[in-house]
Amino acid sequence: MPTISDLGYGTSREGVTVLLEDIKSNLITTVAENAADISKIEAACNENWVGHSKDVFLNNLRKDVTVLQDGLNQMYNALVTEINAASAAIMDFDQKLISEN
Amino acid sequence: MAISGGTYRVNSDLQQSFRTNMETQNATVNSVISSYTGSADNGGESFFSKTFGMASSLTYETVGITPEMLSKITTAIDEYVSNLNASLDAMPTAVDYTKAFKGEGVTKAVENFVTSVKEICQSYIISLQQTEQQIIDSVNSHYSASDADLSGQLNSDAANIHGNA
Repeated sequence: MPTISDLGYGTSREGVTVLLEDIKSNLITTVAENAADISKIEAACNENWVGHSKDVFLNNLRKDVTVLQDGLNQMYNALVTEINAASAAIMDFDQKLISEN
Repeated sequence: MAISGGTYRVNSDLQQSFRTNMETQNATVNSVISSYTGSADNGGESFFSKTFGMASSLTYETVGITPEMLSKITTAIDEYVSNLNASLDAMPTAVDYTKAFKGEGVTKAVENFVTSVKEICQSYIISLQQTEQQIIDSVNSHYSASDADLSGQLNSDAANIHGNA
């Protein structure tokens, strides 16, 4: 059975799964983790800033981090959908060729 | 098969969300900053009670921040932004998709994806830096004004003492 590297055109279901995991780990995880780590800002604020304004600032910062992470997840999920759709379309096209022949 | 990658470009929505949070932030900071110069009459929130170490002589809780304290917070924010920027700079612009697809169809999709990730992160960073700058400006402005007010009052009191002597 040929591997995908032997083909001129095609897709591999297993390869797509690996690709999407690679994209997540290489392109999303580090950024998301760094964005989520506001511990030093929280510590600096709690040690040096007293009052309601500090709470408002930290609450808004946490909200923005959540918005950012939701956005990253939305983009990743959209990319997953798009790549899976492309892979499915190629497989469907291949199936039609088999059916026609 | 070409993949556009256009469906995950949700930046405008996110930017609006950051703006909304930012506007809330601005409004609240502006209103709360004014409490720094408040008195015991409005719940005891006093800028000076914290700034000038007068808390032990007061019966209410202290509220406030000084420019010196603020520098520690801005240092933490700057380090955070620096780390986030470093992770964005380290993002590869492409991934090896040769085991998933034969052909170059996903190249553009992944490029668009990386661009979009960087764009929304930059929007977030800019929003945070603008807020940081506004807090710095507000604190410095109120500190200077309050310091001048206090100096004026002390001069006035000193004149009274002198006058009573």
